[in-house]
Amino acid sequence: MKKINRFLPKYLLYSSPAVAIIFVWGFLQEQADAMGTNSAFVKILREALSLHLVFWFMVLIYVLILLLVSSGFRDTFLSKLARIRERDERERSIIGQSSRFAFFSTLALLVVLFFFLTVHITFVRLPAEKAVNGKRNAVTIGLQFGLRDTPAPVKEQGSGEIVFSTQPFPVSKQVMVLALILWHMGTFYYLSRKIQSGE
Amino acid sequence: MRGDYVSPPIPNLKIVNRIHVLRAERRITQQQLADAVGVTRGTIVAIEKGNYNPSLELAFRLSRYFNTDIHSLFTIEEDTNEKN
Repeated sequence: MKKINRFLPKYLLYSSPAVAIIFVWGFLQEQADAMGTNSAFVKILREALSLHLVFWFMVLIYVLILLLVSSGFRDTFLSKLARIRERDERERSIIGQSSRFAFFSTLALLVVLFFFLTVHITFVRLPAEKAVNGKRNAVTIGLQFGLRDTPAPVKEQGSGEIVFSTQPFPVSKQVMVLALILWHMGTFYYLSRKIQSGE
Repeated sequence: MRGDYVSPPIPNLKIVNRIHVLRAERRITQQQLADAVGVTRGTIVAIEKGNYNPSLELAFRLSRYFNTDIHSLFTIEEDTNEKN
C-alpha cells in the first residue's frame, strides 16, 4: 500500500497536463456532439477518456484525504512539495528556525485577516446637502461575527458615495486560502534561504 | 540588603575550531569529512566558518574522526566583535 501511495502523487502530477487536455477536448467534442458531427470512434474515445478523468479525480480526493489522516504520507509528500531537506542536524535547525518564522508571520496575517473580516470599515463621501458642519467625509465601523457565512446587509450610508469599504471583503475565499498557502511557503523559503546564504 | 546584588555582565562567547587546520594536515576534502561523520558538506562549511555550532554528538564524532580530544578541536573564547 505504501508503494501505491508513493506512486499516486506522481501519477497526479504527470497526468495533469493530459487531464487538462481531456477537459478542453471533451468540451469541444460536446459541442460537436450537439451538432451530430462526431463519429462513433470519437464518441467511444471520449467515453474512455471521461472514465480516466473520473479516476483521476477519485485519486485526487484519495490523496487529499490521505494528506489529512496519514502523518507519514503528509511528511513525505509535503516535504517534497516544499523542497524541505533534513539530511543532518544543521538542516533540521534551519527548518526549525524557518518554521517558527513562517508560523509567526502566518499567524500575524491570520489575525489581520480576522480583524478585517470581523470589523467592517467604510469610508463614505456624503452629498453636499447632507454635510455635517461642512464636512462631507464620514467613516462607519461595524462588527460582524457569525458561525455561518451569511453576508451582513449593506446599510444605507446616508445616500453617500462609498469611497472604500472592507465589506464585502475584496477577495474571494479561494484567493484568500491560496494567498495564505503561498505566504506560508514563501516566508519559510525566505528565511531558510537567508540563513543558508549567510553561512 | 535586597537588590544590592548586581550580576556580573555575561561575556559573549564564541566557539572556534581547528577543523580546517586538521583537514588540511590530513589532506581531506570537506565532502570526505562530511561523508565520514554523516553530515552534508554545507554543514562542514558552516562549522569551519564559525556560522554553525555542531551538537555535542557531532563534535564527538569529529574529534573521534581526527583522533583527538574535543578540547583541542573546539575552544571557547570571548567574542570581541559584539553585534549589540
